[in-house]
Amino acid sequence: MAIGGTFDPFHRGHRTLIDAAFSLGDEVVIGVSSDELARRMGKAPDRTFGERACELLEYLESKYRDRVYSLHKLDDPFGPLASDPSIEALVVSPETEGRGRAANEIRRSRGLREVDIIRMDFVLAEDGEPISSTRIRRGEIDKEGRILEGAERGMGLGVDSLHPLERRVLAALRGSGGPLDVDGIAAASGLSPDQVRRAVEWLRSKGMVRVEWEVRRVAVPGPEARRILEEGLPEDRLLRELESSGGELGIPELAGRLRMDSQELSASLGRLSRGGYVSISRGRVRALRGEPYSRISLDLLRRLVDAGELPLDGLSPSEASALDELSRRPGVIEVREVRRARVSLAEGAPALQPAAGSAEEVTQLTPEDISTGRWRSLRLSRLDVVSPVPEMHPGRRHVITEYVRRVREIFASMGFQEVSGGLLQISFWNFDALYTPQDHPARELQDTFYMDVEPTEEPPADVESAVAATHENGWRTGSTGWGYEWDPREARRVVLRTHTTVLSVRALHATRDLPVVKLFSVGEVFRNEKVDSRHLVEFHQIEGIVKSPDANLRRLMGYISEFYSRLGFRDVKFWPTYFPYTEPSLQVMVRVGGSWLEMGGMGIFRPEVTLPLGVEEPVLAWGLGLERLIMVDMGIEDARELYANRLSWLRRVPACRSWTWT
Amino acid sequence: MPVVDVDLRRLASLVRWTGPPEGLLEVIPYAGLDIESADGPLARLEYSPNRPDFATEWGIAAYLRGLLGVESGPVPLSASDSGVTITVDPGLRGVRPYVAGMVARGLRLDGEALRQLIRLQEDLHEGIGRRRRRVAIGLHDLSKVEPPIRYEAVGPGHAFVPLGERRPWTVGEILSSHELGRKYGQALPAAGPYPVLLDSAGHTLSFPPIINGEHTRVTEGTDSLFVDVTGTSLTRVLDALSVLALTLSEMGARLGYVGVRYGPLSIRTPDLSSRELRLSARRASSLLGLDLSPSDVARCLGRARIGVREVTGDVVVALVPRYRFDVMHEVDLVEEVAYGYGYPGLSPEARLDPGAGGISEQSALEEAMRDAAIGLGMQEVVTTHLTSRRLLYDLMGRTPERPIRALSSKSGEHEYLRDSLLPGLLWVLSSNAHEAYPQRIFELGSVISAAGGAVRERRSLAFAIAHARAGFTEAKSALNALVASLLGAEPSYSPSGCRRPLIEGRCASVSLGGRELGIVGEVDPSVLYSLGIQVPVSAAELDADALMDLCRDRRGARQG
Repeated sequence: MAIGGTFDPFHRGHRTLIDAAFSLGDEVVIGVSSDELARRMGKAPDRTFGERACELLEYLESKYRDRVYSLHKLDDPFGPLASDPSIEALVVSPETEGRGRAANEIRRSRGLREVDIIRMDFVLAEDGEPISSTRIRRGEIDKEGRILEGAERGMGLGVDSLHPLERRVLAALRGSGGPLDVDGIAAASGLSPDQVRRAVEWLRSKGMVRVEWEVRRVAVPGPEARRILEEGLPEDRLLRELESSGGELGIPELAGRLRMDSQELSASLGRLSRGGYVSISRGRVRALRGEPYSRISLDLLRRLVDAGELPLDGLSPSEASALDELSRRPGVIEVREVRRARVSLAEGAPALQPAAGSAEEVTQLTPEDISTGRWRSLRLSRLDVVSPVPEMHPGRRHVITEYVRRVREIFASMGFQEVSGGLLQISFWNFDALYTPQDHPARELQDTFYMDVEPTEEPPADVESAVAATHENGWRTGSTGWGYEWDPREARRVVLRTHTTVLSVRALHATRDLPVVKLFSVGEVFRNEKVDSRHLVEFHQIEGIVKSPDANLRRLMGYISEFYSRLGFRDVKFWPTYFPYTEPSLQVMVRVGGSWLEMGGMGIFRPEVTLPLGVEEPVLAWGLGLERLIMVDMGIEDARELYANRLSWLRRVPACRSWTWT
Repeated sequence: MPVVDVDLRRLASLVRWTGPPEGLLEVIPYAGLDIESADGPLARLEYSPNRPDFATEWGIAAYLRGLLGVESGPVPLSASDSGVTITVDPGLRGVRPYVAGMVARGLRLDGEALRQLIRLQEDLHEGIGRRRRRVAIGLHDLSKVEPPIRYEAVGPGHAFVPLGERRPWTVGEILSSHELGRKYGQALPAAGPYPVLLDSAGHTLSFPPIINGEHTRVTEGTDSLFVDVTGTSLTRVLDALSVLALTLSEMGARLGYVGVRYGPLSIRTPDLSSRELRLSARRASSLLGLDLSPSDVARCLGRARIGVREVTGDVVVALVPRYRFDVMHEVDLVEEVAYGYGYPGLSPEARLDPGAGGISEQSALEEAMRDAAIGLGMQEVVTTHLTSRRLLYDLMGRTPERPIRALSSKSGEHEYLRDSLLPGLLWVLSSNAHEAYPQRIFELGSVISAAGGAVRERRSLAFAIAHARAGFTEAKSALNALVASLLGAEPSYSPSGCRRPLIEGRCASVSLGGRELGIVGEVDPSVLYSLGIQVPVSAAELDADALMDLCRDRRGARQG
């Protein structure tokens, strides 16, 4: 049985809920909102969690110190309710009923059994309005529901406001003419005991029924009871053993034959000698009477095992003393108190006419209610619209693809056409065509992923020979070249592309006959790195080229400034840098807050790159970081977060971000 | 990128900078140096690997003096004859044939200068030297050297006291047991012969490219140096030496030439000459987007410490110092013009030219697929293409047909190329096992297979549904809805063609219009159990290329 709340202030309504929980369940789990949770739910508690919990504990200790209960601090609206499989029912007020349904949603989704929701009506103050924390704080009533000022209002309780279960219970009590217990009411009303308990509790809190607790002491068999029935009492076994040995035995002999431990043996011998069944002297035991130790005890125990429980008040005096004796042996008999509610009508309970026209109250409309017109006679219960409801998770793009889409939109709207291409590339396109010498450190196994597959394609023969000559001696590019012997086999090794520039180079070759080309791509690239907060093995590059007779460095700066300004980064600056395949080369920095962050590189492709592809015009090219951009925009410190796929993050990250609509 | 630690106070004095030293931090980036960190007067700078002359404060200062207008034109460099010669043994021809030398006198090597000189040496070893294979440098105390010097081929038994050791080691011993021998020994033929530099007194100056001799060790206070550079390419050997010549000269040394005799042929090193390279002023203007006259171009080059022989019409004949071997082409001079002009003065030129831009057809179709999946309430995830063999095969209970492996991945977590998206999706479910259910996720990405030998890369669309009552029916419903919303058609299902990690008997292959589309079904509980997923999961994987083809067919049918 569970119950929860903020308990600020702790008022009579709360006590009623707690009393109900203790009367309906064996164990009670009580959740108390933490200060943080209370604030989150708009409650602004006057007192701290510690103060509230203390007051609650005082009450619990004063009234239920011998019952089993536990107190939990709630940091979320559900606490143990969302995860504890042993909770079977929840006692709620109309105010917290929604929270119960929400908890059941969660339990369902986790495969836990749903809890029964036992809804208690509001406890009413003297004026017939519910006792609520707000009213108490406003000073209308005190914690007991007494009116502090203003005129007393008339009692507003009518049959009309009774729940159907309540009406059936009242009818059953009226029909019986006297007090009934829960089972009696259930039999008379056709309700389940659980429904009866709920309705009785509601009626009791409204003062319409009286509940008296009848306490009965019963005996129930303990774990040892069956063994004793089979083997007899140890005293009887002892007497039988003595008899079969001629009426006298030494204690060690006796213990050996009976295989009793010394404690049990001495307890048995003690009882037998006290009862005059045996005498003991000088270590020997002699039988004095030839009759069994106690027939009454065994008969009683058999009755108890058969019946499962025996009320103590129905026992004869000799049975009572036998029971008393048995109950001193460990594990044979337990005596328990059983509480039984005797419910009777309170004075002034309304006379019930199962009235025509009295509306049935429902929480959920059904299709039948609507189509049959039954809705006319229904009364829809007022819902608790304030309490939390289950979380819903919409389908969403991953943060990365969301940004990729935005980048695509920007370049497309700046007049660039998108290109794409394979992740696996031969080194020829990835390195050689980009004038990266074959012994360049970037081409080593420790930086680049070489894959154990056959070459995926052949480079075009004319481009290959031009590239080879350019590396070796500059070909007709006007360059000195790298001055080494170019190896065609090295150019055919398959790599996971290390940059999307490979796509630009291929596209340049494919479009070599067009005078003006503006292309972009956004794609994954791979580096053989040790992954840490700043390095990823796979990440995205934003790639673009402009081929045009009048392309120049200041226009390149212009395109990139425009791109970042459309993302909301208005302050951009450029610093010179070095790349093997562009000259001049720049890096772009954007200002974020007070600092400048490096976002990517760019430059004009070297003639050693463009001429072998059959391209005479200058070509502007850039490769910008995507992950860097996302991290800056979202304030993420660790690049691995982007690929961790934590649903808690992906589901909740707001779609409205600094750059979304700039 | 290599880094150099500089003291801005010393740099300011070398540059003759009169403002506060920290003010240099505003200038340094426009010389092509990145400021990695700065702490008071100390700064750590990153420089491009093609500019080893930036490895010391002296080299940086020489360039900055030009950009700041303190000096103009090439850095003056001169040398006189030192009388020192090196004779080269022809037996080294196939081993490590080239050597060059230089003498530097009148140095005052304090600890800082020595530290930076060694940094420069290491930088040249790593970059242009390709880990000493192509070029290696030895610095010696000239006062301990008895010229003339011989560059000789020796056998493994040749012995000397290596730098930092107390007893003689044989060459063979160094190669097999010394740390540096094991690290750099593969630059030499295993069977020998091995190169050494010997002076006339028989001292071994150096065993390149492995280690110097202890005898000529350089210490703080050494005032004269003998420098040797050996290697497999004469051009690179002379390139490296020219950077040392610039740096030592800037440190205040008087340089001396060393004669190197290759049989009858003799050369004088270092090479302090310049190369002619012609630059069109129009080309420079056009590439930079500036309007520069030929004399503007010449002035800019001078600020970038490049010499100019003459200006004829549009052509500026530049003189490129030997140590600027990064200048390979006219466009490299264009960049020097930009440095000389000053990058802060280059402003972006906004150009919003109209153009027929657009996203690719593939992207458009893929966006439609994402929209369809999202409309079904699915959260997109993005997982990596490279993954582990354990996840891809072992945990799925799949036998790899022809896995594609990276040859030398630094991590087993990123070693195999995925041929399916399902393992990644299940991994995501596994790492989110504590999050609220239901979890419905999808991914659209590339998968690569090499079945049958031919490598095939294609796009794939997969989803997985996880909650207490997830099952085949929901996955099939979702798949039907997905295909219907994309193509307006209902796919066919067949109980054959099922694959791990789905369960045989609770899994179907999917096709449409005779085309295989993929599979749908429930994930094997043994897979869920090993991944720690505690709810049932159903999933599907579809060939996105096939979906896109069907989409194109549909459009073609409507138009044709």
